[in-house]
Amino acid sequence: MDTQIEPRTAGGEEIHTEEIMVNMGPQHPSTHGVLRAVLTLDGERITGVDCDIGYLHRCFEKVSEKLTYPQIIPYTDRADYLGGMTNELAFVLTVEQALGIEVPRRAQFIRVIMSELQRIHSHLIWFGTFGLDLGATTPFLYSFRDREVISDFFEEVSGARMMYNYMRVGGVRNDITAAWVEKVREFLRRFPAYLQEYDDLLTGNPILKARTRGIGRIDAATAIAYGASGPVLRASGVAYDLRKNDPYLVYDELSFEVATATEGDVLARYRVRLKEMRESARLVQQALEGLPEGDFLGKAPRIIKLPPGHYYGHVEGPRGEVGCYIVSDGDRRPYRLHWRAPSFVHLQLLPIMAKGHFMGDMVAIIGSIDIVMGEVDR
Amino acid sequence: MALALAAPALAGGNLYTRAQQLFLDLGLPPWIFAILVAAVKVALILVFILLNVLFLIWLERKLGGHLQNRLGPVYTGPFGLLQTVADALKVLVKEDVIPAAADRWAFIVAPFIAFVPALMIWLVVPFGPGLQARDLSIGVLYVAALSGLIIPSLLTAGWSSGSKWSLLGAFRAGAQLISYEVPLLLAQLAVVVWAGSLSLNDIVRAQQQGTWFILLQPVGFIVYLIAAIAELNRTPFDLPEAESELVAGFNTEYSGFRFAIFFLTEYANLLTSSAIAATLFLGGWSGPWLPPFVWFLLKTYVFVFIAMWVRFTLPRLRVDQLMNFAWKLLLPVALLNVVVTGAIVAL
Amino acid sequence: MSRPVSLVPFVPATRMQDAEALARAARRIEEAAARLDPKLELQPQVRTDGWLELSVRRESLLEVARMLRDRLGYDYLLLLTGVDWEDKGFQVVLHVQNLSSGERLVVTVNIPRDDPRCPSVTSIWPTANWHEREAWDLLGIRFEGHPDLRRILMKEGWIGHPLRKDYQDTRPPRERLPRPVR
Repeated sequence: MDTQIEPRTAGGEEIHTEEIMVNMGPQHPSTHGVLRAVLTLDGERITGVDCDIGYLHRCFEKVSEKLTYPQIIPYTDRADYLGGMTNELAFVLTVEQALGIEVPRRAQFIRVIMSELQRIHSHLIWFGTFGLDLGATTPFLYSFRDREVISDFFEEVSGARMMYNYMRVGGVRNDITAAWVEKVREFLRRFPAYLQEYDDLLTGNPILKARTRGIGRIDAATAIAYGASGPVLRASGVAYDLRKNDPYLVYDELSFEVATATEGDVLARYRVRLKEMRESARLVQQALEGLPEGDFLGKAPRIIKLPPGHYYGHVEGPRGEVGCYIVSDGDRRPYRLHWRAPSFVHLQLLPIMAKGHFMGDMVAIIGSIDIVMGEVDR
Repeated sequence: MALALAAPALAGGNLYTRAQQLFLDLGLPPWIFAILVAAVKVALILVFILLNVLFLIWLERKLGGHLQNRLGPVYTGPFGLLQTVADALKVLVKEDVIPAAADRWAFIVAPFIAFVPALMIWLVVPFGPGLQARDLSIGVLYVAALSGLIIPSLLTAGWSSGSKWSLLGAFRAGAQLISYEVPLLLAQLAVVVWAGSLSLNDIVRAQQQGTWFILLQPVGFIVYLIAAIAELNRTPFDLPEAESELVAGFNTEYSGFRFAIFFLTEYANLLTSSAIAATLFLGGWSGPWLPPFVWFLLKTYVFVFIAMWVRFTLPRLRVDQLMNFAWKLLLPVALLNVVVTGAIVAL
Repeated sequence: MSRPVSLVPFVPATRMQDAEALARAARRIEEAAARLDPKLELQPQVRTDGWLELSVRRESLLEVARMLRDRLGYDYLLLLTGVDWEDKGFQVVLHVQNLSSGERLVVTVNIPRDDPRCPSVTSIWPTANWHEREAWDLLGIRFEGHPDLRRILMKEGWIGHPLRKDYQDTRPPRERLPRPVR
């Protein structure tokens, strides 16, 4: 990772070269939204990256101060628009914890099912777009075929394919039906075959390996120092997963493995996410098996007022630790709400990962972090 | 002079000679006839290329669709066959945007520098026995020289666009095309050595008498296949226009009609490379039962199919990997192939 | 770039209700603080949601942060943000965690409203960089010693800090188009 530009010589004379500045984004096919990265290039080699964000800033935190707690739930969907269920979950868990509400067991199982389906859903999109970033167009179509099925599941329970507004303080909005459960089971039966297709298409490809191995490497110490979480942290060899390390809902009753890798490069993050899809499918399977009868929406006060104080709740979202920090002054509206967005934190690692690599690696690295600009800018 | 030309014509009496005789009878000088014949040939080749390119674009989308779990174009015409026509019409009526930062004249000229050589190559391609515009004795050399002309075009396009993305794409294009030209030519050279002639027609005849060169030159064919796909800027070697990295590379700033010309050139080149591959390695127009022209088309489309299949399967290489592959693997293999071929022929 | 990579083992999580673990963590912090500087008088409080809260004076934040990371292993900064308490001033809130033991801690710093300065902890937890930029952008808390304190979410040249409670939008009101007549 020597970023020093070596002097080039021709016939004994030094050739004068200049770095060029290139604006990557905010309109660029591979910045996954409106990220603007100002690149300093020495030929094709990246010597510096400066991220400019904020193009999608929608004042989520400011708006939340004007809304009552139930009104905020749909807004959380829009922070990380590919992880709506886990975002809502982070918010309602924080509120429930502040109120001291016990959630019915059935609702907890439903929440687990939705979170894990959401994780598969989000990772499928990541898989497709990551393939696109590397120039393979076909995996995108395959992964979207399967993602459609999960979108249909969500649509059936919540009425929406992306912005669900499904979680409620005290439970979930709608119960799941036996027919729905059967459809999900059917999907899970086919899912291993899908994953095999992805492996055949992309994972075993020598070009993919050549493009990703050793690229954008960060070690465990750097990942921790920069607050990385989720697949980015786990690919660097730190087995930190909130579902294990701070179990919420009924995760401590279900058995699953935390996907890890030690290399910390793009390929490691790729493998971790693929493994996570497998584990999530297992989790959904178990949750469906153990789904108890009962209420799907427990008792919650009609008007939700949080006792004065600070509250922080977090869940393991598809991209990492989604945190919700609420400051209450006892009103129906939060006094202050802050959203810990994993993509926002991970984007800081981009300059470190990209330095010294080629222009073509830049898109692989951005793809491997799996950013969602809605969450970065909030 | 005129009589000397007419004498064998009267004896032969096919369409060509009868037409020639008619001209001479009318008292017109023979060069007018020569120009007319050339014009008809050019028109026929142009129609052939344009029709094929229209079909190729449709095929690429249809094939891509089926490889990717979707249908491809279906609504315009039977099997969506008219989709390309619709697209062409749309592109032609779009605004012709020339960026303010562009080097105006170079920007305007660049697409044509690419397009004209792509058509000129077809001068020597043998469609069938005698179905050839001109049987140059240096056919292979001519093809190589003209296919090299795309590099200045792409460099001009990238440079004159006045955009950094275009410039990066142009640099990549220049480096890549020059690198892959070398193994491409060496692969062709081995065939030339084997056939003992630079004329494409002679090469086909040599295969007609012996076996197809793909059997005698399997290494050469593979080198040609890879290098040709790289020359065509197609995935996995589509770095000059890698849309996920460089937006669209050298043609980022092009729109409307000029973009269409680049697009057309790309597919014309695909057709050219396929035709050359069919001629050099798959026996050209030779084959049993079917008419030669059909054989020629079939063989061309085999190569086209391989190129499209590869495109929808593989991810893209990186710049340095691309260069390493060309110089460190493809070039030595191609060189060795030429040496071995030469040794076998000499023995 | 071949530094060794360690795999942090799983630890039994400190459940939020585990009062014993909380008390133990609080004691460790008190002891370490007393060793560092007895004048600090750090008293971790247990918050209702099970987090330890440690209120630190602005001047000693850097010192305490370094102690937390180096001595007590709070190596992971979850988030850093600010709260505008209007006449009571601003509060900078840091959520930190010890990844290997699972201990978690909230560090709060109260700063006066008329002098919104706070030492930057970017040198201790590099991830604080953007969090601090965001807090500066939206709340106007000036982090001293930050390497690159620019606006991050709002555009350059924006007037005011929108998350302040007294923020007034200084832009002229946008002209509204008349509603379309049905």
